Amino acid sequence: MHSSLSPSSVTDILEVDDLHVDFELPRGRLHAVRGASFSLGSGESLGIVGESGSGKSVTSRAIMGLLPATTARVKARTLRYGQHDLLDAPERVMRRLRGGEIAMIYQDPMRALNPIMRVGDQVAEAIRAHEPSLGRKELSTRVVGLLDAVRIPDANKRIRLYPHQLSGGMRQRIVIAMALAANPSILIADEPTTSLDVTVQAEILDLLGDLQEERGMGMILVTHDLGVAAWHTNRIMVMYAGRGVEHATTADLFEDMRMPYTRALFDSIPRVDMPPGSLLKSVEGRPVDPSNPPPGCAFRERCHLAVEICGTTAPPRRQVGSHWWDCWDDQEEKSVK
Amino acid sequence: MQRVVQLVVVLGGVSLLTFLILNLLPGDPGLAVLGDNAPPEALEAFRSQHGLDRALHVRYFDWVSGAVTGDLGTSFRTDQPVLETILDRVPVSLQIVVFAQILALLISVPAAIACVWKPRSWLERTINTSAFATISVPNFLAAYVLILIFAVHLGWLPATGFSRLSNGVVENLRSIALPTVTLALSQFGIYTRVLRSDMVDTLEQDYVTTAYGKGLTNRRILVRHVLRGSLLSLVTVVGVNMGVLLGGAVITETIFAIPGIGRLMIEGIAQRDLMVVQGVVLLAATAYVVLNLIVDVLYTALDPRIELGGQRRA
Repeated sequence: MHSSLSPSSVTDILEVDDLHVDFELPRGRLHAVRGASFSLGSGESLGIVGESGSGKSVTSRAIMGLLPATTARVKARTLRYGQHDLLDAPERVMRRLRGGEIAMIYQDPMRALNPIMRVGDQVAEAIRAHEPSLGRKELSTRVVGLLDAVRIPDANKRIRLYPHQLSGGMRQRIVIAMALAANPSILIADEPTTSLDVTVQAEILDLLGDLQEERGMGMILVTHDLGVAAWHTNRIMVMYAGRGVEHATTADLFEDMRMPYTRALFDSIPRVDMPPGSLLKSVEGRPVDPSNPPPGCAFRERCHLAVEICGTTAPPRRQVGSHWWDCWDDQEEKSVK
Repeated sequence: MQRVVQLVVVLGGVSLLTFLILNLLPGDPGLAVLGDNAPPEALEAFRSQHGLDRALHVRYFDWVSGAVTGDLGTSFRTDQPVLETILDRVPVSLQIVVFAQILALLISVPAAIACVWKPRSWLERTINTSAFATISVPNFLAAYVLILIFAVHLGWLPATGFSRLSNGVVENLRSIALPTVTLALSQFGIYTRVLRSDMVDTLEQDYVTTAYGKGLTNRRILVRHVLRGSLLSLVTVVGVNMGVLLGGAVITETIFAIPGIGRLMIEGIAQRDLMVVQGVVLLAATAYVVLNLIVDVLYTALDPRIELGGQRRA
């Protein structure tokens, strides 16, 4: 698939091809992900960008096998980590992969951490899940080492605290330490800074970028903020209504955005060169109802470039090198307008 | 501190209420103790001996000031100090109640875990049905069924009576087996349902997803994260139940002829032995308040966000 198109990746350790996730809900079936495809090379960093409801979080949970088995139906042509088929792997193998090979950082650290367990124990538990033979002393050395690695000062004292006794930024560092516990090859960060203060966001992003480079991990950075994805990613995939709609290396994407939705996301980022008092553009309209997607291009009702064909037929995938996008609006048309 | 004030207020209220209700009820303790045909002089002597000829408020304050120093008066019928009688009975009730709670929890906790572990399985359905059954079946019926099976048909256990620990451990345990199981059965259903329902809620918490994301085993997640995070309601219910039962598992003690607190109270009421009844009620109220205090302390141990005094921080 697209793996051959990404110049930076030598070997793809993660391959997702035509991923579909449906939720069987009491009020009907919800198509959360409708054919997402991407791959990740080892040591590479991919940004997945989209609004809430675009299916980006569900995609990351599908990779981890963390969706509720009772309601979620996951299908894909390929969903592979290394040699492991993630759709077919027995629970014992999935348990080893979760945390051990693919680890996750969550949006809200207050909710992701167990409120009644000391943070040190929560990190220790993540280590011991993959190295059960570790002794008490070694374990606590490792925990303190991890807290140092995520730049938590006074790690020795902090391990004895409960989540509510830490600040939001410190809590997220604990979550990151937990994710690093078993030296995973891939880190999936699901909106890792959304719940944090602006001042802390940059610190956490820098930390993630540094850790990813130092440890040579692959990283998937899931965010609604194209500005966040611009940091520390090699490639970006923009998702809309459960599918990828544009993909390029980070540099190419910011150079030349093809899909109007990507442009709309970009215009909604605050920038320093804006005149004071100017209003931010939001992406107009509302995301499509994922339980009842319209025919044609899912974005057309919010797209100011939409033409008739957008409403009837799904847009073709255009491709220039590793840059691809789904849109009827080709270069000639654009220059006419 | 707040708690101590609360304790004093509750006990003051309880003592006043029981005293008033018992003493304003029609029926002469003297007649009850000495018999309907007792000569007037004897009744008069009985009244002055027990101070019943004094004004109501004088008697109340006399009783309360005695109670504070540990003197609960003497029984009208046996002339024994009430405190001594109660202390003689407390270990009997305590043993049965504590054993029953332990037994109920030993069954309920694994049962609730099993329900959450294998939802919609035959195991869950079986547990649910038996939980409902034990809640719906009245205590006395369960008691008679147990007696019928284990005492009458199988002959393994005595149907009634109590053997003190001093008569040998085995005899003691045999004598309390049936009442303990009876009480435990009535608690099992409630405990299982309370815990299961809390665990289902906890299972939805994000931190449980995190635990799965770490690659932990199902078992560890259910015990360390889900069970541990679901104990508050259970502890509350166990505390309340213990309080109620320590005040006398009246029906169970009566059926099995166990000389515990519940029996003592029933006898006291039947014989108009006001001092005994007052004493038992006061003891039950104290046990109730103290148990709730223990429950509150347990809260803070179970959830570090809760501070003693009741506030829960974000």
